Amino acid sequence: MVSLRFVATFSITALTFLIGIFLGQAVSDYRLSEAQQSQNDLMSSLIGYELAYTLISEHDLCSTDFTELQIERAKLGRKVSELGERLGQNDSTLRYQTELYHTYQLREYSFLKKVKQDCNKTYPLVLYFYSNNNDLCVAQGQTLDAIQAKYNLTTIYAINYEIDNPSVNIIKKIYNVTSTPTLVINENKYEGFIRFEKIEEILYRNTTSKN
Amino acid sequence: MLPDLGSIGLILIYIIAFITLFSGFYMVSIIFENTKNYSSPKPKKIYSASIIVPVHNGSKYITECIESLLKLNYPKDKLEIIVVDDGSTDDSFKKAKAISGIKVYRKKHEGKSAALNYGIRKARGELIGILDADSTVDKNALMKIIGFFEDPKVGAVHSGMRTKNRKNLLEKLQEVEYLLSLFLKKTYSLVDGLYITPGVFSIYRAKIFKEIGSFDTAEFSEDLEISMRIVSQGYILKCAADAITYTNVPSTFSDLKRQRVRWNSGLIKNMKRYSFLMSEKYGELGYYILPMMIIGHIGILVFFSYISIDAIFQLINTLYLISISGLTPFLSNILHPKFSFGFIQSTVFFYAALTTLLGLFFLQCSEKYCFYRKSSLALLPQYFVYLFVGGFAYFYFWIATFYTILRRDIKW
Repeated sequence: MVSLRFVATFSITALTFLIGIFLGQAVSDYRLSEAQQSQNDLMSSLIGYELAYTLISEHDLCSTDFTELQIERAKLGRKVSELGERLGQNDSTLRYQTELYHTYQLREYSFLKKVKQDCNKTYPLVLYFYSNNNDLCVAQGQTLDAIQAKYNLTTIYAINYEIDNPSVNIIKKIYNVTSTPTLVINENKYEGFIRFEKIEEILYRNTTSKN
Repeated sequence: MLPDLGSIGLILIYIIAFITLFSGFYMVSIIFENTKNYSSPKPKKIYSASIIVPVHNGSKYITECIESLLKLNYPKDKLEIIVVDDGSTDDSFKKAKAISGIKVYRKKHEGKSAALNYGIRKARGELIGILDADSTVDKNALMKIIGFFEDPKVGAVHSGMRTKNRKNLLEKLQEVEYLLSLFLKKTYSLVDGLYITPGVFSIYRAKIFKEIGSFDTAEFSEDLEISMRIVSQGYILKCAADAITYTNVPSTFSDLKRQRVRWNSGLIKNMKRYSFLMSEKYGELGYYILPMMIIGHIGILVFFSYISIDAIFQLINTLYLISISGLTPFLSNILHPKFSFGFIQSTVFFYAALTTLLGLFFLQCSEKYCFYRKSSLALLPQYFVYLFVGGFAYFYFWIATFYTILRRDIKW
């Protein structure tokens, strides 16, 4: 007969194993709530800027630096993407969080587009439409990461084409995006994979300064 | 693009984590139950003992080996030392013959098992010991062992084997491996779960060979085969961790590979031959230790096969992406890695931390209960390197074993 030691050890192991799973779940929940908090903070900052835009003079707003906001948004983007890897894309809370993040990105994009036009700014604005499980999108994502690293660009907005959300659907309609990868660089649309050198050339042709 | 193996890997990690924690806790329970049983029993009776040293071209070590036996703290009239030269082409025979107080025989080269059987036929002792020619014994080793034989169920006892050469990295890694392995064997022997008495100073009850026959000359691992045969006859094996012996371990990777391929081949053959030992009839050895040993080896094979396949997939994917986007993004992403701890699964991290703690506990226990003269703290750097490369090495040796078996078309 199997010894008491075997049964007791098996039970303790099973218990430890379960503790590990609960602990992992607790950490994931904490990270998710952390991401939610960051999202809320960012959203209230952006709303603050938008309100300021209607209240204060153009001159004051034009001299405002939004880099910090963009850096924080990029951090949030990484958090959401990490959570995606950890929880799986089908997790309902994460799906909601990802949709919110996309709405935030588009709201920031629209705000910066308006500031760019009104204040005659020259910073580039890049919208990148991608879809999951697409080799060309993986390659395009890596190319944009390299561009971001080289030029310290904080105004690249990655939009998941597959997300069924009003704001994403509207932006797809505005630029008539029907396939991935698609880039919209300073309002000009480029379909299909664009190489690093070509993106550099477009950015340099259209932009004289980085910000 | 090739599939992402991430989720398969996670499931594998969970299974391996469960098995590792289970075997770790099992060890802990045996340790806590037996903290006072790690020392060898004091002998009441001094048995007559014959120690056989088989040698084949072992000129480099033979003198030191015999001299260590002559220094044994044991009544000289109760000790017989037999050297069997297995057709050496060097001067092993001459060197052995030059030492007085021992019996030296010479026979044609037929392999280690045949040499041992020759020695057994000449031996007169109640106990028969075997010492590989490249090994030495501490003067108290035999005295620490014989006390176990007062229990009539004990068929054989093996010594507390340590490595002798500890200069290069490979030797240092084997030092840790041998220490942990000794501790494992000692711990398993406390619940009568030992299934091997290695060739470095293992002592057998002489009558056993009359009952079950002598060494199988067709064997790769004659020590494993005879041990399993002894166990199958209802005897138990014991480990005297405080009976200190030293053995020379392979100094080069190719020598180590050759040794491990032989061990693995012997393990496969004998596990097939003695698979009936995996039964409740043989206690914890049957329902836990042997199955767990097999699961451990299969686990290494499966996990490292997965890692290798995943690495190949990732390489192909990377090359494919480079073919699309060119080298610039690839190089830039290497120079600007987006490093984050976010990829670490908290659950996996928890299991890994627990396993590491268990490993450190076992290292500390190995020092304490195997009466090791070097502190476990001094062994820590070797231990961590061993943890890191050990699995890969074992995997490689298994692949080499299968390749050898296939090439030689060995039929089991």
